[in-house]
Parts: sequence; C-alpha cells; structure tokens
Amino acid sequence: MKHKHCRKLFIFVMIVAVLAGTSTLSVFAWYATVTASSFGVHHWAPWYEPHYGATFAGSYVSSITFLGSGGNSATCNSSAGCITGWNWVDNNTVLLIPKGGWLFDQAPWGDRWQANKYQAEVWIN
Amino acid sequence: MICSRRTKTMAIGLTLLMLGIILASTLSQAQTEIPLADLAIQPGILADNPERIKAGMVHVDDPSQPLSRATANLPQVKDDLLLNYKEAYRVEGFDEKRGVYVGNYVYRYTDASQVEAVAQAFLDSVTAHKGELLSDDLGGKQVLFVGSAGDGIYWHIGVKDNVLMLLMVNGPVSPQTQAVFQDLIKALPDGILQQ
Repeated sequence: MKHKHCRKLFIFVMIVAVLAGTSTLSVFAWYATVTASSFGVHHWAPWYEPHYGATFAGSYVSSITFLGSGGNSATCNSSAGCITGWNWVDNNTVLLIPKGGWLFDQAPWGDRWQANKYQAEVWIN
Repeated sequence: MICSRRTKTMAIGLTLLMLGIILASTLSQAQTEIPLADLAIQPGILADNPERIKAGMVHVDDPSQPLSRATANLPQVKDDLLLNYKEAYRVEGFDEKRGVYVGNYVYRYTDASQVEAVAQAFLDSVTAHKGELLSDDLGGKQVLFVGSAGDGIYWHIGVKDNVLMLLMVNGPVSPQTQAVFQDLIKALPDGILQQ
C-alpha cells in the first residue's frame, strides 16, 4: 500500500516537472518577426578585407525580407544570388551580406548598409 | 634549522619592500598608459548618433576585428607577436556623412619593437597581394587594397610607442574616398599618432 502511494507521488512529481519545463520553454522562447539588431564587419578574408553581416536576436526560421528600395527582387543581382539563398552563420543568427552586386552596387550611403532594412522570422530563446 | 626572530623580521621586511616596488612599478605603468579609447577616432566624428557606432574593447578571439585568432592565414611574425597584444579597442560603423564604412582598430603591445614588427608584417602582407602604397606621411603608411567586389579598402598603419593604429575605410575606389580617408586620418586624436 505504502509502495503504491510512493509510485503515485513519483508520477505526480514527474508530471509537474514536465509541465514546468514546457511552461519555461513557452515563457523564454518564441518566434518573432524582427529586423536585424546590428550591421557590421563579421570576419576578415584575407585578413585585410572586411566581410559584412546583419545580426539578428535569434536563429533564422523563415521569411528573410529586404525592406529597402526594390525589396527582395533587388537582391537577385548580388554575387550570392537572391536574398533567400544568402548564407546564415553563427547558429543562423547572422546573415552574411554579399559585397559583389549588392553593397558596392550602389553608392554606399544607401539602405543596403542598414540593419533595420533586413527582416526575418527568428526563433528567440 | 630554526630562524632567529631578527632574520624573520628582515625576511618579512624585504618581502614587503619587493611587493611595494612591484606595486609602484605597476601603478606607474598604468598611469602613464593612455586609455586606447582616447587614442581611437571618436564615434561622434562618424555619426551624429554615436549609438550607431560600435565602440569598445575587443578580444583576441573576436572574428570581427582583423588581428583575431579566428582570422585565417594571418602572416607569420616571430614568436607569434601578431596576436600577442595586451589589449585592443575598436570603433566601427557606417559613416553616413561621408558614405563609407570605417573601422579603427587600436592595439597595445608590450613594447615598441613588437609594434614595428607587426606593422611591417601588415604592410608586407597587403603590398604582396597587389596592395598599393599610397603614401607614408600623416604619421604612418597608407595602402589601398582592391577587394573582391572591386571595392577600395584603404588602410592607414600607424605606430606610436607600443601602440599599433589601424584605420580602414571601405568604399568605392575613387579620389573622393581617398580624400575622405585622409580626412579621417587627420581626425585621429591630436598628438597621439601624428608624428
């Protein structure tokens, strides 16, 4: 009889633990559509040539969008093709921005250099 | 062997004296070293809103600064001097007024001879890969490297005591960009790297 009670208590504790875990996940992780939080040099290759990236607050899920002039279709002349095919690095939190046919395809004071012109749905946790 | 009281007192006294000398030397060194932030270009020069400019100390493992352990194929400098700096500071961002991207990287090494070796290695590396030496005034050497997208990467390599100053301007290859580059070199803090 005592043993049965223990088993029930154990199962109850396990259920509470699982619920608590799920609840924690739902509180601290979520999907969101956000613009990049920063734009800047991501790495150097060779060591005296900068390459740029737009950093997001979470891991890329879908719907990368260029909010600037010409929208996504304007990106397709870049050396990396259209924006949906550009490379994500650092656990999919940084979108590498191609220089060829994009950043240096127009005067660099354009919106292609601005973090808030790159938007995506990301998983934030 | 048991030490006499007098010997013990002398030993303690000597130890305290040595610690005092070491502490005084460290404090004196710290006081004479100008903070790297004061040697770098000021964020307000690059943007009206300085919050849009990244500024702060950087670590040797940070791949977003050139002298990083994460950067591939760094030139070899004797005794791994290149990455052996004591501290590094970066100011970086898009200069809206001038329409170029600017990176200013300031490294403090232990002594001046290290800095000279690193600066020379940097210069040799760029010029060996079709970098063009533009001039050697304004307190350092200026080189232009044409990037993979045909973009101009203008570098100023300056040395002052144990500090290496790297200033990069990335923009179109043009006389206008070069003029902007020279203006920004002149905008570096007075009396620090201008020789």
